[in-house]
Amino acid sequence: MIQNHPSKKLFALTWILLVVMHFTILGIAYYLKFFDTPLIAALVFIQMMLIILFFMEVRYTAKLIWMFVAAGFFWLCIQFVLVASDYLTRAWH
Amino acid sequence: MNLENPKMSEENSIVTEQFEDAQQQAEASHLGIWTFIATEILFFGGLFLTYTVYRHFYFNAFVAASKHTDVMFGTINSVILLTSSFTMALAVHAAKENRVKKIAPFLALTILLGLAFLVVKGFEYHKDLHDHLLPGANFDPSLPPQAQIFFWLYWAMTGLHGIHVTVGIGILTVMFASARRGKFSGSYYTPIELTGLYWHFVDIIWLFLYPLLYLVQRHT
Amino acid sequence: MNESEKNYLSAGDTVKSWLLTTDHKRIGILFLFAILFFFSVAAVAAAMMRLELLTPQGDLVLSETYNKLFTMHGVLMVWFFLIPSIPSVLGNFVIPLMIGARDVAFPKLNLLSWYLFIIGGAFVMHAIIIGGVDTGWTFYAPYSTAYSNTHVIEMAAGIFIAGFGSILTGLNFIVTIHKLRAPGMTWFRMPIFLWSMYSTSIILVLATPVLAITLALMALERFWGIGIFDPKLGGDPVLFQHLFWFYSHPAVYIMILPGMGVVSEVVTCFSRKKLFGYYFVAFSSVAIAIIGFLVWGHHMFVSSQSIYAGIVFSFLSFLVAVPSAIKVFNWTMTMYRGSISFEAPMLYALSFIALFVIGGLTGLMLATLAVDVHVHGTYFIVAHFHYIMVGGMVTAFMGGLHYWWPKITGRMYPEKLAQLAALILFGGFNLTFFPQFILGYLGMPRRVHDYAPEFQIYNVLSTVGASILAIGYLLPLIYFLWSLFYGKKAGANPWRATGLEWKTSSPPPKHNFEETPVVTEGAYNYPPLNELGESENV
Repeated sequence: MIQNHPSKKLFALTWILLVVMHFTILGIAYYLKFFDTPLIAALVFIQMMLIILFFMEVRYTAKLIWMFVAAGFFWLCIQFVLVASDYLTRAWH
Repeated sequence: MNLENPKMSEENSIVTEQFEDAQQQAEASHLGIWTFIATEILFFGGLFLTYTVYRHFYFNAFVAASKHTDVMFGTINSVILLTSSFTMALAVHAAKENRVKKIAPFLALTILLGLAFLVVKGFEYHKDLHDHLLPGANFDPSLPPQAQIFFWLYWAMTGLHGIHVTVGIGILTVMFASARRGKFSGSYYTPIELTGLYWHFVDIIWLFLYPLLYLVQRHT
Repeated sequence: MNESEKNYLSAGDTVKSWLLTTDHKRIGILFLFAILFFFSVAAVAAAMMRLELLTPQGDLVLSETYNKLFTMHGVLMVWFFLIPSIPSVLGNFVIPLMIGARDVAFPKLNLLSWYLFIIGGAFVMHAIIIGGVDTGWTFYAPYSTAYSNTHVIEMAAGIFIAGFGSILTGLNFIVTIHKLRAPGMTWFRMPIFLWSMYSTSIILVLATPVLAITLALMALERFWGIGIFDPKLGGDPVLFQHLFWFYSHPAVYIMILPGMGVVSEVVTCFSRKKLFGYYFVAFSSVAIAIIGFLVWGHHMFVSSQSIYAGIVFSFLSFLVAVPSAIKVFNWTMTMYRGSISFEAPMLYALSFIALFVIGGLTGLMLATLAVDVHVHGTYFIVAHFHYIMVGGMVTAFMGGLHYWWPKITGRMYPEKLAQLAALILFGGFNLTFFPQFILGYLGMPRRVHDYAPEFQIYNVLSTVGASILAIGYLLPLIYFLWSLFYGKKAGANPWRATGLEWKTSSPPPKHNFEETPVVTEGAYNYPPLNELGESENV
């Protein structure tokens, strides 16, 4: 079904990147005093995208699959944003 | 009508009666597993949402509680899971390249790594219990009360993730047995792919759990 | 009679051939039997409540028993009747036929959803038999987690399991509609029923998991004796409501969108006209499914939810009215200058439109913050959602069952009797629930077994209406059974309807079509009307 798929080399590279990023996250958590949370969030997001795009081979599949991946996250965002609209404004007067 | 029996396509793959050809079947299966993953995102989402709300309200308690988790175990497990995702991807790769003999060993490696994850998790749980980190009457009194919420979520989230790992190992074992029987080839490997997608998803969940549970402001 | 022709019913008559079937048509029928059982049990609970409410004193049942009755009625009706009604019964039967497929994409998963449904149902029935649950169908924390002395965990487990059955059904429908459409069946040639089932499936797949995790957290907290919704630790019970309604409000649309799909099929068929504004009706289904996820906070206006969030949720709730109204206008325009005939399915469709408009407009009243604060927790709410759930969904389910009955069984039901039953249902329904609007507006709280004497007259009216309603349900049960043996043979297309499901024989053969059909035209291509406004016979 899928003509082109990633090579073994690309998988190995992805894996190395993931592990390296993982220890970077650990280092940030212990030593960085500012912007640590957003940085870690960004790195985890990149890790996730690496897995989705290469290990899960979404980069090589149909647009429809992209939509389904996005839909799950979109709905999660709906949940977070609207719940936040409650908790973040409760103290307002 | 030959619809009564499963058709054998020229590529020796089994196409069930509701599909026209192997490609349609593979596409449908892929769409199915991705729909399931979307479901799973929302399933874990409830826990992540709860975590976010309480972390926002009780940040200091969460920082204090997070320091009591064991980063060592957490980090080892992360590396184990990331590596298992790599071996899983190699198993799928071997199937696609029609190197049939390589499929089962890579699956076996993935299973072993999955089991290693559970063993490490077991040691960690044991240590947590010993340190009075289970919410309830015996909870560590030196921690603020909201730390119990943190650890309640810690047990619930890692527990649910652990169940997913266990299920994954079960499915992988079935795949391993089928691979040994020579069921898969370069033209029929959809079940391995689908197992892989599920396994990678479980890995991603862990990548989020790790900083949320183990690394809340470690530097303070 | 040519019995040598094998159809899906005659393809095997052992119990095993039914319980292990992967045929979507047979699974649809398995679901039909299952939901009829749960409907009957839930109806008994409703009957006991209506009897209790005949008099202002609590003289028939204790207040605890009354709590258990309405919990049982709610749980069974919502999860074990309404949610599977049109999707799992009619959807299962009709979707593959409508798109020209031999089955759904994953027939074994389809059977598994039935078994999950039955196992979940068994848990719930067991919880009811050993003493019931008194939390209401919403399981609000902390009552459910800390104070109720009833079988909460077991009932939640039942709903959890049945929920996974729903998810699998939704997943199956999504993949089926994406991947198994016959050649030429493009998205915009699909009958609207498929659009509404697709939208319903989106909700099933994306909302049900949140219910599952919420009930699991609630049950875990109850089991553990400590937890995240517990104010003693700093937990927030309102968070439970957020999670619960994130599922349960979209679930309301699981309980109405399929009905809208049925009505679109029926209205076009019995007006002999193309659907007015096909694209608008199709996209309004998807819009309802998506916007339906943005409005759940309107259930929580009087909780400690922030008033600013309340304003946002109120505004978003008004938005849902737009696609809903589009549908109503389009059905009306479809009928305009059509060649309308009033067979039973059409009577049900017309009832649906009328009752849905009342239910929908009172929904707008409830989405208004100030009005909601006034009538929250009163019978006004009960009346409103029964107009949507029963007046809408059950009516549409009855309409759809009559419409596709000839296809399902190969027999016609008795038309005159069916028309009578439809009218009885419409009358009985309004008599039951309209007085409840007045009761609620006057301030009678819901979920109580005794009330102030000045409310009695409306309660008596409501109970009388419920008795008429019961006749309206029993009558179809009797004549449907009768028709199985004595009904007129239906033929492939008794309504002269368009749509692929009418192109195959009734009942359809095991694999639906002798040859995969090829589609060359859009849906509802009814022949043009002549100058007299009559349709030309084909």
